[in-house]
Amino acid sequence: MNPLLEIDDLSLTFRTEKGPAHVLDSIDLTMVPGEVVGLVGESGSGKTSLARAILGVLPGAQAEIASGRVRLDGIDMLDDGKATRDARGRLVTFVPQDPFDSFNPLFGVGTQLADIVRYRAPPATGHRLARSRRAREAMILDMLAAVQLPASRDLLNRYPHQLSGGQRQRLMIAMALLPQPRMLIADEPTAALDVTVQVQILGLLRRIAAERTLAVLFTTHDLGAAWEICDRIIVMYAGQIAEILPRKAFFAAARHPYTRMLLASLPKPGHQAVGIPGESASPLAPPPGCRFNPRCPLASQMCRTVRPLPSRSEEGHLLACHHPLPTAS
Amino acid sequence: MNVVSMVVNRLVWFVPTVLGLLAVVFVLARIVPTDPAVLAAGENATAEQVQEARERLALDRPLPEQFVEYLRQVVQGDLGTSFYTQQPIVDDLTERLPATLELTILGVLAAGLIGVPLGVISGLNRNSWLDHLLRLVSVLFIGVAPFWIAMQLQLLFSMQLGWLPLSGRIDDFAPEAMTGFLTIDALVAGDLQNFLSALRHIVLPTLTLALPGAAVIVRFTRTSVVEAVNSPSVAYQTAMGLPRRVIVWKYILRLALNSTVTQLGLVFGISLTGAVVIEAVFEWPGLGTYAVRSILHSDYNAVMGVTLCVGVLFALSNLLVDLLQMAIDPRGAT
Amino acid sequence: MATSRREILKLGLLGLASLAGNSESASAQSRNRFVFANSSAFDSLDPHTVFDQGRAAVRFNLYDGLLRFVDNPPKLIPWLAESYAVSDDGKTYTFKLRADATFHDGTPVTSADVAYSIERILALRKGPASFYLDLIEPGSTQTPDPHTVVFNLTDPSAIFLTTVPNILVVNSALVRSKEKDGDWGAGWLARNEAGTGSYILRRYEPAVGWSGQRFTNHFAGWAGQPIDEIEFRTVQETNTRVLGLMRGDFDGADGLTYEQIQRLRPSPNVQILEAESMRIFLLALNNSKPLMNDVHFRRALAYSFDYDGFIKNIMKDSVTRNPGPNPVTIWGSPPGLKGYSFDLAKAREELAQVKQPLRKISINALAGYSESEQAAVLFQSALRQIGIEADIDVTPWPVVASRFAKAETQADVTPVWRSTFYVDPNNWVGEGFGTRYHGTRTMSYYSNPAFDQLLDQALLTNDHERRRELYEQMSQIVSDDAAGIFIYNTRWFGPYSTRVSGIRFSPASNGNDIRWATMTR
Repeated sequence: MNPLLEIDDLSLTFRTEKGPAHVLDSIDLTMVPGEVVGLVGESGSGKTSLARAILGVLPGAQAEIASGRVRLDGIDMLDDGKATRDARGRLVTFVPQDPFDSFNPLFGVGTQLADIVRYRAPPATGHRLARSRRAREAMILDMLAAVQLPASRDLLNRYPHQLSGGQRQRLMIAMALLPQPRMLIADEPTAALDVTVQVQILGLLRRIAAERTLAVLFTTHDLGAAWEICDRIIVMYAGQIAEILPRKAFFAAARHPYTRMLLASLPKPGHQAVGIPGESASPLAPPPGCRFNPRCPLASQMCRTVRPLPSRSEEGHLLACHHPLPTAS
Repeated sequence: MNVVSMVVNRLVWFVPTVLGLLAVVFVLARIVPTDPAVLAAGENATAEQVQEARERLALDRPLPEQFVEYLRQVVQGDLGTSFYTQQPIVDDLTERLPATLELTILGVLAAGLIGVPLGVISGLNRNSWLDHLLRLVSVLFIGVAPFWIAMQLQLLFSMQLGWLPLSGRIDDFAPEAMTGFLTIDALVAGDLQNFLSALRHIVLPTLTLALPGAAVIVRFTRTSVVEAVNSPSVAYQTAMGLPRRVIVWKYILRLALNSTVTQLGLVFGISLTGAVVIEAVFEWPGLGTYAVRSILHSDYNAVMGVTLCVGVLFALSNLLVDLLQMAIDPRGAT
Repeated sequence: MATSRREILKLGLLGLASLAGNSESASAQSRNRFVFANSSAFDSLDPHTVFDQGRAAVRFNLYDGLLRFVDNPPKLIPWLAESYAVSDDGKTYTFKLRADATFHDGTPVTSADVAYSIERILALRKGPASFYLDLIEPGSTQTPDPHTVVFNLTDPSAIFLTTVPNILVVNSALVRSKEKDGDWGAGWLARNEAGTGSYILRRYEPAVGWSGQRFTNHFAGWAGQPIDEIEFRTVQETNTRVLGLMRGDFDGADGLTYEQIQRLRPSPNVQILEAESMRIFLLALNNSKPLMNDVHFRRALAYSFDYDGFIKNIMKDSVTRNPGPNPVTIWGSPPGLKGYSFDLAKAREELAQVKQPLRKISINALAGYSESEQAAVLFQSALRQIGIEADIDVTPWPVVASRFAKAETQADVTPVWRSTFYVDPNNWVGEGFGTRYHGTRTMSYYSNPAFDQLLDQALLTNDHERRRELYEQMSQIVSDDAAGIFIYNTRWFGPYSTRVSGIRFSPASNGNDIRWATMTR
C-alpha cells in the first residue's frame, strides 16, 4: 500500500528566551491509510509537536525546522503554500485534548459545526443545492448519528457549557470527520474524560477508522489506551523515537529500557502506579548520545556519546538502544 | 445568577451608594462658607426673611436632621429650588439632561467604534510597530486632559480647516423638542438643515469625549484579542484550517467584544465625568455646564441635584451593562 | 444586496460632504443678525430681579424705562416718559408718558403699567429694589391719568432720577394674567418677555441664551439700517469666545482680559472699541475690625500697594490710576486729589503710630478674576516688607458677596470692583462709605458722623453745584482716612466684528444697547 504520511529525519527546534530547545530529533515515521498509530510518551516527549508538525500549525515565529520533511499524500506540510493550507482541516483533521476549551464558548455548537462544513467539507453530492444551509444541516445531522449522538437540532442549538464532556468530545470527532479527511490526528482525546467515557470514545475512534479507512495518529501518555485501539505504538522520549512496536508485540516484545519502565509503571490491581525515577531530559540541553542515558540503569560510556540508531529487530519492530533488554519470555 | 436576582442585587446596592454620595455632597455643601439661608432668601432680604428661609429650609436644625429632611423631599421627587435660576432643580435638570445624554451616548458609541477595531488590529499584530504606536497613542489619550484635546480639535477643525463649528449645539435655536436629542428630533421632523447643523455641532464634542474612552477600549480589546488569539478554541480552528478572516472577524471579535462590554460601564463613567469639562469648552447646554455654574455660584441645591442625577445615571448604566452582558454571553453573567 | 450597500455608501458620502461644507449657516449669512457671546448665563429674563452688568442685554433690548442712559460720559435722555417734574420739597416726581408707545403685543403703554412695575419691584425685593425699598412705600405711586405717573418718595433723594432707568416697564395686563399664587408672574416672566423694548423675544433657552427680532413699531422709531435680529448666546469658556470672534461666529463678546484683547487685535475679523469706563478697582477695607479701625494702620496699608507696578506690569498699562473713591470720569472728586503712592518708608512711619497690637490680616480675592488674585499676592508680599503677615483666601463672588453682608464676616482686605449701578458719585463714595448703607451696599463698614452728615445733605438737595461740593468733601475724607485703597478705573474694551458699526457705549449698558448699531452685509 502507498504510504499516506511520510516523515523523514525531522528535527525541530523552538527558539525560546533561554536558548534553542531541541524538541524533535531525527524522527522517521510512515503511515498507511487506515492505520491507527499511537504516539506514547511523557509530557515533553515531543509528541504534541510532532502532531502539530503534521498539521502544519507549528508556531511560525519560534519553530525552526533543522532538517527533514513531512509529506502527507505527497503534499509538503512544512510549506506554507496553498496546497498545504487546503490540506489542513480537509486532508488531515484534528481532535483536540480538551473539547471544552476548544469550542468557542460564545457560539452554539451548531454554528461551529456549520462553519467547519461550510469552509472545510467537500460539497455533498447528489444534493441539488449542495451548498445550501439545509444541505449542511443534513450533513451535520448524519454525522451526529455516526458519532452516536442524538441527531437533533436541539443539540446543535446548545452552547458548549450546556453539554457533557463525552458529548463535547463526540462533537469534536464529528467536526474532525465532516471534512472527510484521510488522516485524523487525535491529541490525547480522552485526557479530559471519565474512564467509562474514555472507553466509549476510544471504541468510536477505532470503529470509525476501520469504516472509513482513516489513518489515525493518536497521542497519549496512557499505554493502556494506546494498546486498546492502535495497530502500532511509537514510544518517544525527549524528542527521539525510542521504540516502535506492533500492537500484538507491545507487552511481550518491548526491549527498550524506557518502554519497560513505562510498562512497569502501569497501575496493577491492588497497587499504586509507580513513577519512573529521575526527571525527563530538558530539550534546552539534551544529553549527548541517547537522551535517556541519565535515567537508564544500563547506560554505558557509549550511550553517553553515540546516539543509537533505530534498527529493525523483527517484523514491524524498531528499536533505538545500544543495550536492549532481552525479550520477555 | 439569573436576571431578576441580578437586578434586585444591583438595586439593593444602589440605595446605599446614592445615600453615601448624597451624604458626602451634603456635608461638602455645608462646609462652603456661604450661608444658604442668605442665598435662599435672595438679595435685599431683611433679617426676618433670612430667618424665615432658615426655618423653611430647616437650616436651623442639626445637620443629620437636615439631611433626613432633604432625603424626604428627594423621595417625593423634589430636589429643591435653585438659588440662582429660581427654578425647581428637577426642571433645570430635565431641561439639560437630554443634551448630556445625547453627547454621552454618542461618545460611548464612538469610543466603541474607534476603540474596538483599533484594539483588534493592535491585538492581532502584537508587538508590531502599529501595535506600539497604538499603545503609545492610547496611553497619551488616557493621560491627557480632555480640555486640551477639546481645544486642539477646535483649533484644527474649526479654526484651521473651518470644517466644523466651534461651539454650541446647533445654529440658531433648537426646534421643538420631542426626545430632546436634537439629531433625532430633527430627523423625525424631516428637518434636514437642522439635522445637519446638529450633527456638525456634535462631532467635535463627541470626538473629544470618545477619545479617552476609545483609548481605554483599545487597551482592553487588545488584551482580550491577544488572549483570544492564544486561546485553545482559536488554536483548534486554525488547526482545522478555518479561513483566517472567519476566525478573526467572527470568533475572535466576539470573544474580544464580550470582555469589552464589561468595560462599557467604566467608559460611560469616564464619559460622564469628561462631559463636565467638555461641555464647558464647547458650550454644550447640558448637565456639565450646569454643574460648573452651580458650583461657581455656591448653588448647593443644584450641585446636590446634579450629583444625584449623575449618580443615578451611572448606576443605571452599570445595570444596563450587566443586563447587556447577560444577554450577549450565553454562559450568563460571570 | 450589493446595490443597496452601495446606495448606503453613497448616502453616507453625501452626508459627509455636506458636513464638511462651509460651517457658517445659511441663516446667519442671509439675515442681518448680530450674535453676541455673553460670558454670563441668562438664567432668568425677569427685568426686575436680574440686575447685573453681565446680563444687561435683556434690560436694554427687550425692555424700556421712563428715562435712558446713553453715551459716555452718560446722559439721561427721555424715553418712555417725554418729560418729568420734581416738586420743591424734592419728594414728588411726576412723569408724563409718550402717547404713542405700545408693548410688543400692541397694547398701549399707560401709567398703570408703570405703577404695576414699581410695585412688582418692591414686592420681589430683588435687583433694583434696593434703590426703592426705603424710598417708596408700596401703593404710594399714583396714576392720575393714563399718561401721568407720580412717584411719592418718603424722603427727598437726589439720586432717585438716576435710578429711574431701572424701573423697566412691563405689560401689566399680560403679566397679571400669568400670575400664580401671588408670584407677580415671576415664574412666567423669568422665561418670557412682556416689554416695549427695541427687540421682541423670539427664542429663549436658559442653557443656551436668547434671540430677539426687531420691534419695527418701537416708539423711538428707527434710523439708518438697524440690526434686524440679535442673539445673545452664553459662552462661558473665555477661549471659545476669543476663537469664535476670530472665526466670525460671534459679532461681539464680553468678559475678556486685556491679554485676550491683545490677542484679538491682529485678527482681520475683529475690531476693538475702547472707552474710559466707570468701574473702579479697589482694595475694600473692613474699617470696623480691630486694627483696621486705626487710621494709621489703614494709611500704612495704603502706602504699601505698588500702584504703578500693578498697572504697568499686571494691567499692561491698559488702565489709568484712579486715586479716589469715585471714577475719575465722573464729577464729585476734588481737583488734584492725589491719593496714595507706593512708599514703604511712609508706611513704616504710619505703622509706628499704631497703638493696637499687630496681627495677621485676611485678604479675600475673587476666584476666577486674575487681577484680583494678583493684586492680593502683590499686596501680601509688600506687607511682609513692613512686617505685616497676610493670609489670602480665594473664593467665588457669591461667597465674597455674602461676607460683605456683615461687618463681622467681611475680610480685612478684598480686591474687588465697583461697577456703575447708576451714574452718580453716590454709587461709589456715598454707598461705599456711608453708615446708612451698612449691611446693604457698603464696601467698608466705615462710620464717620461728619461724613454721614455730608451724605445726608447730598441726598436731600437737587442743587447740582452744592452736591458736587459735598461729594468732593466726602471723597477727600475717605482719602485722608484711607477708608479704602483705590487703584484704577477700568477701561472698556469691546471686541466686535468688523462688520459692526455704531456701537453706542455707555457705562450703564456696556455697549449692550444694540438698537443704535448697524451691520454691513
